[in-house]
Amino acid sequence: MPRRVLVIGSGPILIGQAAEFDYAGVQACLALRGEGVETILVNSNPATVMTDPDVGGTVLIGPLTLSYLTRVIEEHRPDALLPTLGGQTGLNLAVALDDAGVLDRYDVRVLGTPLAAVRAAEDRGGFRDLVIGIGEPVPESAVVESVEDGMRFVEHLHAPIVVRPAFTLGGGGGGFAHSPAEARERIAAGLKASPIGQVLVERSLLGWYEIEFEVLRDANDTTIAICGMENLDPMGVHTGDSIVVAPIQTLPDPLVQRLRRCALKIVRALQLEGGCNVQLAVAPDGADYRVIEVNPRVSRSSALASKATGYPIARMAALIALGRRLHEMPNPATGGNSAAFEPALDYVVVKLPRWPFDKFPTADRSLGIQMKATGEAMAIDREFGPALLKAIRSLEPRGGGWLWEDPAWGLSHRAPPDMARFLTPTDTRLWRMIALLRHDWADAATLAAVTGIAPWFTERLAELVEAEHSLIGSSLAEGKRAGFGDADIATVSGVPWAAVRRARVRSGIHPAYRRVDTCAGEFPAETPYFYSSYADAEVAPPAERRSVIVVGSGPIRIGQGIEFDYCSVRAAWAVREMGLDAVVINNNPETVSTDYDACTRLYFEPLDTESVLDVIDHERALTGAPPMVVLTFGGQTAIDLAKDLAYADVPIAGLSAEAIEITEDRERFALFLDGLGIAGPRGSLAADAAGLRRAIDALDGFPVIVRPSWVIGGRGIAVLRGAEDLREYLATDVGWPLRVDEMVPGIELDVDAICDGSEWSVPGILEQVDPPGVHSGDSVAVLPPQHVTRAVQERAAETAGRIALALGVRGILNVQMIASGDRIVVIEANPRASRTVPIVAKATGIDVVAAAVRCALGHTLAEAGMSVGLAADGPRVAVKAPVGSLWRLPGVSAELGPEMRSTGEVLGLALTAREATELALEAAAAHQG
Amino acid sequence: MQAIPNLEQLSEAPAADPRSGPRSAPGIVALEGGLVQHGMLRAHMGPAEGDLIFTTAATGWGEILTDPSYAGQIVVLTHPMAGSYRIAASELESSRVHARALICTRLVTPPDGPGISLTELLGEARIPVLTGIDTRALTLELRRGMARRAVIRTATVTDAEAVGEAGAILPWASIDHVAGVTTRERYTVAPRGMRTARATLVDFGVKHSLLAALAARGLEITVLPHDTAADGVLATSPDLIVLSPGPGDPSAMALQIATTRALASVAVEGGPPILGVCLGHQLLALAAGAGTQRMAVGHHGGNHAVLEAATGRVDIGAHNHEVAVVDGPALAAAGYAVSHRDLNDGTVEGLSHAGGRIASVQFHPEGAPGPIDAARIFDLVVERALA
Repeated sequence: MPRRVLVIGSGPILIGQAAEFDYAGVQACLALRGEGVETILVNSNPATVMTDPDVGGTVLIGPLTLSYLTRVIEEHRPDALLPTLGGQTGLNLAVALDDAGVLDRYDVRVLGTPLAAVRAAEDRGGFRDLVIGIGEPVPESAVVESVEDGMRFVEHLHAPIVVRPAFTLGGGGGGFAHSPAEARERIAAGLKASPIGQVLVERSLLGWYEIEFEVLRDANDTTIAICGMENLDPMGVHTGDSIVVAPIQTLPDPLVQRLRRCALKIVRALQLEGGCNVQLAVAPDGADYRVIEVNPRVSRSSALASKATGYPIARMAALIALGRRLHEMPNPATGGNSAAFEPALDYVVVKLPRWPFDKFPTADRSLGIQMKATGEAMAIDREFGPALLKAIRSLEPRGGGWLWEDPAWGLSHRAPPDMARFLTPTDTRLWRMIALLRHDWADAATLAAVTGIAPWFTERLAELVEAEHSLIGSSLAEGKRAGFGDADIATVSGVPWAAVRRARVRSGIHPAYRRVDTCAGEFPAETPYFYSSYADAEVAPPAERRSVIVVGSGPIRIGQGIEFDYCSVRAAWAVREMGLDAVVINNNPETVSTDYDACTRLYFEPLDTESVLDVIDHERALTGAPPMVVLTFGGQTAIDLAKDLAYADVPIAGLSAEAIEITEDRERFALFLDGLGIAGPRGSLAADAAGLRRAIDALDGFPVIVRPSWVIGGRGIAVLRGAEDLREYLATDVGWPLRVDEMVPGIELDVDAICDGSEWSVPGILEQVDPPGVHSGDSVAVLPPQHVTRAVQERAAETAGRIALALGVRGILNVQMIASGDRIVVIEANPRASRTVPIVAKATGIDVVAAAVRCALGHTLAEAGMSVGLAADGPRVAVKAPVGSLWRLPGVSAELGPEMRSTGEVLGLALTAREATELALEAAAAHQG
Repeated sequence: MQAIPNLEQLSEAPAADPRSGPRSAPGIVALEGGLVQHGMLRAHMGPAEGDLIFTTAATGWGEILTDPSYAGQIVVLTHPMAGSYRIAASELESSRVHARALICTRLVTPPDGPGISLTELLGEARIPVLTGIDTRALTLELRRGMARRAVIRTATVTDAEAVGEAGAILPWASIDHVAGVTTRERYTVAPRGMRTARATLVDFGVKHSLLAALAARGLEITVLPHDTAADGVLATSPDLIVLSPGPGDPSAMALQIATTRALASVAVEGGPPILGVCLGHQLLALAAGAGTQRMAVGHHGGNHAVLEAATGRVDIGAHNHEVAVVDGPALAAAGYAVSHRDLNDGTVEGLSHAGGRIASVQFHPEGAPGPIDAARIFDLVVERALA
C-alpha cells in the first residue's frame, strides 16, 4: 500500500469539465485518507472542496502543468500517483509526467488503471484494434495524420463521416461531414485541434441510439456495471448535451445484456482497475451495435451514475486503486456484506443539460458532437413523466418551464414550414416537440421519425401533453401525480401559484419522500438520500435534532458556478459540526453537495418555491420543529426564494427578505446608502430611450453603466462609452426600466464581511486588477490589494461592515466598491456568499463559510472564531485569473465587458504578488484552447 | 431447438389493440397480513391468487412471466415502468405464462413494431396485471419477510373480504407445481453445431435459455418428465445429467429427492456426472441429507454477486429462488463443499462434490433475464462430461 499519494485535480471549470471532478476528488481524497494514506492534492481551481486541507490533505493550489507537477513531485516525494480522478486534464498530465520520465525518476507508481490502459483507450487507433481483437464491433474508420489520407478513406467509405481529434476535451475540434467538401474542412480543423495532430475519421452513426455503461473493475477482475444510461437524443448530439435517462428504458433484456457484456469485456481487456465509462451506439431496430468510446476514468457520466444509483463510484474507484477488492468491501449504501453488486433502480432518472445561450443570444445554438452545456440538472421520480417535469423545473426556467414556447415559432396558428429544420438538435428541441404536440401539428410517431428519438420517449411526451390538456377538469391530486408543478397548474388554470399551493395544503396533497437505496428496496438501507414522489409515504428516518436546510445552487452556469457548491458543502459541514442536522436540497448531479455523505439528509429536488417549501414541510413533520433555512450559499438561485419563503413564514437564517429587496432594488439601495452617509454612484432610472439620453446628460455624458435594476452575473449590463454604443445597445432587447450610473474611475474592491448582528469582521479584500466595467468574474484579482493603502482598505472594510449591520445581516455580505483616490463608492451589495468566498478562504486559511453559518444561526463572531474588524494580511498573496471556454461556442465574441464570460478560475498563491501572478497566469494558460 | 412446442404460435397470435374496448377495471391486491393496495386490473380481469414475490429486474418481463419457476407466484416489479418494449418470441422461456399475475406501477403500451406487447402476452394467457400499484411500498412490506399469500380481485369485494381470502388460499409450498409445468413427453434438443456429448435433463420446469446454453456447447439434450425414475434417466446413457430448475418447495418432493439420491450415488461411483441448477441444486442437497428452507426474502433479479470459493471469482448473476440450501454439517458429511456464495447475504449458491462429479448452482448462469457472466460454469461441466 502506498504511503503518500499525489492526486491531480482537473483545474478550472470549462465546458466539458465541470464540478464532477471536485466530487470525484473529494470522494477519493476522503477514501484514501480513511485508509491511512497521506494525500498531496494539486489543483489550480480554488473554488473546490477538494482544495481545503481537511479534504485534500497537503493541498497545493497551483498550475496544472508538467513543470509545476514535476516541482511538486521533487519537493513532496509521493510514492504513488492517482491520475484517473482529474478528468482529461489529470489523465493527460499523468501521461506527460510519464513521457518526461518524471515518474520513473522519482519512483512514483501509478495507482489503479495503468497508463498503458489509458493510452490504449485514448489512442483511437490502438483502441480500435483492441476492441476488434476481442470481437466487438467498432464503426468503420481510419486514423489519419493528414488531410489527404483522411480524404482517401472518405472516398472509399462513401458515407457521412465524423471527425474525432485525439486527446481533446469534450470533443473539441470535431464534427460531422455529409459531403467530401465538408469532410476536407472538418479533417483539417480536427488535425489542428489535436495536440498530437491525429484524428479519427469514422463512419457517422447519426441517428443510432446512444447507450452508456459505468463500469467498475478491481484487481480480482471483478467487473460490474453500476448503471446503464440511455441518451434520449440519438447519436450526433454529445452526451453532455443530451437528455439522459437511467435505467435504460427502451431496450429489451437480451439487448441490454449484450451491451452490458460488451462494456465489461472491453474494461477487462483494457485491464482497468477503477471506474470506466463505455459508450455504445445501437441501431434503432436493435439488430446491431458499435462501440463508440471508452473513458478510462471517472467522468461527468460516472458522477451522474453515482447520483442516479446512490453507488459512490469515485470512492470505490479510489479504494480499488489502493488494491482493495470490491467483494471484500462493505456495500457502500446498505452497509451490507459486499460492494460487489449492481444497483437496481425502482425509479426513473432524467438529466437535462443547462446551456449558456441565455447569456449569449448570438451564439450558434445547434448541438453536435462538441459539447456546449455548462452544467446539468437531474431529477428522480417513480416514472419518466414526473421525473422529466421535475428536471425541467430544476433548470430554473424563467418564464414557463414545461409550458414555455417561443412566440417566434408561431405555432399557435400554423405548423412549421419545415419540420425537419424546426427539429434540428438545439437547446430548445425538447420544448419544440412539446409545443408541436400541444398544438397538434405532429404526433409522437412523426416526432420520432423526424428526430430519430426512440418512439418510446416521444410517446411519453405525448402522454404528458395529453395530461396537460386534461389538467382543467381533473383533480389537483391527479395533476400532481402526473408530475406538473404548482406553477404549471396555476398557469393552465389561470390562478396564482400560491392558490394552487394553498389548495394543495388544505387537501393534504403533498409529496412523499422516497429513499435512493441502490437496491430497489430489497435490503434495508440507511442512505439519507431522498426524492419526492406523489406516492405513499415511506417510513422516514427518526430525526430528533433540529434541522438546518442549506439550499444549493442548481446547475452550473456562467455567473453561478462551482463556488456556490463549495459554499453549500462547507455550510452543511458547519451545521453538522454545530450538532444540528444538515439538510441539503440541490439538483446538480455533478457536485459534492449532492453526495449524501456530505450532509445529514439530502433531497434531490428542484430549487423552486414549491419543492423547497415541500421539503421544509416534510422536515418540520420529521423533526417536530420548523427548520432554519440557509439561503446565503446557493447563489442567486437560493436568494431568489427569499420572498416566497418569507411570505410562507419560513425562518430564513440571518437574513430578511427586506434586506434582499433593498440590495436588489437599485433605487432603494441608493436611498439606503444615502441614509448611512455612504457614497453610491450617481445615477437615475430611465424608463425609455429618451429618458436614457436625459439620464446620460445629467451624469455629464459618457461613459456610463446601464443595467436592469435586477441582475445576476451581469446579464443585461453594458458600459456605454459613446453615442455609437448607445445606438447599438438600444437596438438590443432592452429590459426597461434601466438604472444608469456614472462610471466611477478607480480601483474596484470586492469585500466580504461577516456580521453577527452587532459586530463585523472582514477576513480579506480582493482588488480587481482589470478596470471597472469589466465584470469582476472576468477580472484578474489580487488579495490583499496591492494598489490601495491599508487605511483605504480599512475604510472599505468598515463601509461593508456598516452596510451589513444596517441591513441586519447575520452571516455574510459581499460589497463591491470603487476606491477612487481616498473616496469609497459602493457599487452594489449582495447579502449572500459570492464567488470570492472560496478565494478568500484559500488565501487566508479562514473557514469563511463556517463562520458565516455560525453567525447566521446565532453565534457571535467570537464564538465563530473570528476577530472583529479587517484581518491583518497573511503571509501570502493570492492572484485569481479567470478562465473561459467560449471558444467552444461559435458566434460568441471573446471581448470582455460587464457581461460575465468566463466559466472558471484559477488561483496563484505565493509570497509575492509577482510570483502569485506568474503562477496564476501559468495556471490559466494551461487551459486556454 | 425445433422440438420445443408452441413458441412460434404464441408470437404469431393476432395483436389486439389494448387501447380499444373496455380493458380495465378497478382491482385490488390483498395480503394475508392485511395490506391492501388498490389499482387497475388489465389484460385479463379475472381474479388470481398465489404468493407475492418481487423482482428487481428492470427488463425481461417476457422471460420472467414464462419461466416455469414462477408457477404459483404473483410477480411484483420493483421497477415502475413495465412493458416499454415489444417482446420477441426468442424472449419467451416456455410455451406459456406461468406466473399467476403481474403487479406493476405503470404499464406502458410499447411503440409499434414486431413482437407482442406485455399486455398482449398476459391477455392471451388470461393472466391479470394489476397496475397503478405503489410497488416500492409493497416491496418494503415483503422485504420484512411477512406472510406472502395474496389475492388479486376486482374491487367488488371489500378489503377485509379479500384479506380473508388471501389467508385461506393453499400455501405455495404445499402445491405440487412441478407436475404442472414439466414436459409430459420425452423430447430431444439438437446441439448447435457438432455434437460433443449427450446430456439428459430431468425437467422440473426448465427454461429455453438453459437448454439453449447447453445446446450451444454442443450437447444433444434428452429432456425427460419430472417423475422419470433413476433407471429411466440412466437408460438414456447420458454423458451428463442435468437436474433442471423449477417451481415449488423441494422439501416436499419425495419422489424427485429419491431419484436424485440414486443418480448422485451412481455419479459418485463413476457414473454420469450431474449438474443441478436451482431446484436441481436444492434436490441434490436434500438427497445428500442436508436441509433447505424458505428464505425470509427470496432472490429475484439480475444484480446479486456470487463468489466462487475455489477461484475467488466474483460474478453478477441472475437469481430466482425462494428456497435456499441450509449450510450445515450434513453437506460436508455427504462430501459436498459450498462452491458459491451470495455476497449480499451469504446464501449457499453452489455446491461441489469432492469427487468432482456433481456440481450445482442455485443461481442461473443462463441469465434470461439478467447477466450470463458465470456462463463458463457450463463450459466446465461440458468439459467434465467429456473427460
